[in-house]
Amino acid sequence: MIAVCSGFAAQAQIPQPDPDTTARHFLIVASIKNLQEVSAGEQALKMARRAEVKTFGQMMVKDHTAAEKQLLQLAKTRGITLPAAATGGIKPDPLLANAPDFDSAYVHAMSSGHQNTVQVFQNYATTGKDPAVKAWAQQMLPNLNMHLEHVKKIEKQIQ
Amino acid sequence: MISDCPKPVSKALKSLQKKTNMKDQDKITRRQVIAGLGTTLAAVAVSPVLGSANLNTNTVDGTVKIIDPTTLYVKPPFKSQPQPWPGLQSKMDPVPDCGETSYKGSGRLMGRKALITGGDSGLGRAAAIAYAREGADVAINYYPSEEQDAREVIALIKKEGRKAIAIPGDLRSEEFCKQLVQKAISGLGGLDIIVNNAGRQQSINSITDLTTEEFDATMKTNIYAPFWIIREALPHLPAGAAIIGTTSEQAYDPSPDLYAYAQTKAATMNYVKSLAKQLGPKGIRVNGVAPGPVWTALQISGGAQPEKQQMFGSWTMLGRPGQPAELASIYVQLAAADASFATGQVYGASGGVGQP
Repeated sequence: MIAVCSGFAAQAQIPQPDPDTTARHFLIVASIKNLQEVSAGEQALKMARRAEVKTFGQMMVKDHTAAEKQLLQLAKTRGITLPAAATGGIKPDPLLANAPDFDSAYVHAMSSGHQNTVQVFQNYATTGKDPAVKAWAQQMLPNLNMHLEHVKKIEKQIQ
Repeated sequence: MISDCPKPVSKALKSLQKKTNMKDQDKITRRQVIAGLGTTLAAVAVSPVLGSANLNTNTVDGTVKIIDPTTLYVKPPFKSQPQPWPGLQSKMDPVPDCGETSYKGSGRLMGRKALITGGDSGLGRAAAIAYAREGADVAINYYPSEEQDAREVIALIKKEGRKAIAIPGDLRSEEFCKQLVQKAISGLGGLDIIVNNAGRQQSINSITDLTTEEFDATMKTNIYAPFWIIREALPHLPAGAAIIGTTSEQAYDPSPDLYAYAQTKAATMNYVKSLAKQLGPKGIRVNGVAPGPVWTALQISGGAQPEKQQMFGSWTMLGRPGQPAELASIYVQLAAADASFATGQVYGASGGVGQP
């Protein structure tokens, strides 16, 4: 199953609470997070030095690509149009590309980003109004939490 | 600047992210500084702003248009558009609105002489345009790689019939800061407004990933440069002069990834209050502007995490980031002679979130 995942922003970087809990807004944020996760995962495949970081990056690419596919399908069936800026054109993050220690910067970004993502999904899973989107958010949460635990473990190891 | 989000500040000078880069850019800086500031600026086409959305409040019959702030500007999501530091606003999508087509002056700063750091883009650019339209002569400082944005500003100031002085250089150098003040004074024939606006902001998730070089570049640009500039300029400032610092909502509620930047904004808020007490008896007013999330090159050149960039400002009560043009009138107000009782104040504009 696929996990969806998260983004890079550290918790509280995207200030909470988000006043907008409409399905469209949630899907826009989730889609951007997916694409960024894939993009960063690709950077990790190229630049990570530690095997476990590379493996985690690979899992991100695979899971988020699959999650994005589901998300787009869901949006289609619900008749929700997503803006182009939310579904394509993600560029590699220069902060990661230029980081003095890629592994460390990537793992910190993934850790804070997944915390934020879990919050965003929990928020919609609890307060969302569209039942299908809400169900999807609930379905994604176990895998998101698994990603978070996994990256936290790596974070501890490399400290 | 920004609040936690980001803040916005102007982007102006910042330093480089990597050491290698740093060396290269330092070379450029030195060379360009030595070569002479303010190269001739041919007339430059100014990039169009945001189509119909702007702050132009004039109507045919002379009344003022009422504008809904929630629909005034583009809302997120924005395209992914990372740029290397310091970034050019002319390459942003949408291009930030700094009041190029909308700001109308009414002589509030006629004959005043202003120096604005980071005046090529963002808040500094909005202030520079507004000051010129209010009748001031303006010197702008910027990082040499921002020449393209700066040329547009110089052309806009000249179009108002005001003196425009371009002084590119690296604010992390004490020697340059001293030269900057002297060149501004000789170019403008005096100085009575200083806007310490240039800022460096880099989002870094963990303090363990923050290099000493990066921390130092942030401190030099955001804290030392205003100190060097004010100290050099003070003997030349007349009673009635105004000093303005760009602080941020970050001064009061820092983001976890802006450890270095946020503390410099707290320092700015603090020096505003300290210097206001020190200089009040001389008749020099010192104030600050605290932006919330404002759409500037600071944010897309490393100042915010990628996702925050794309959803930038969505968390405000207006559902969008501010545009620099929306803060221009604050810089004008704090500089104007009729703000004569305002000193040691921090004025904010952050869309219903953040402090002050």
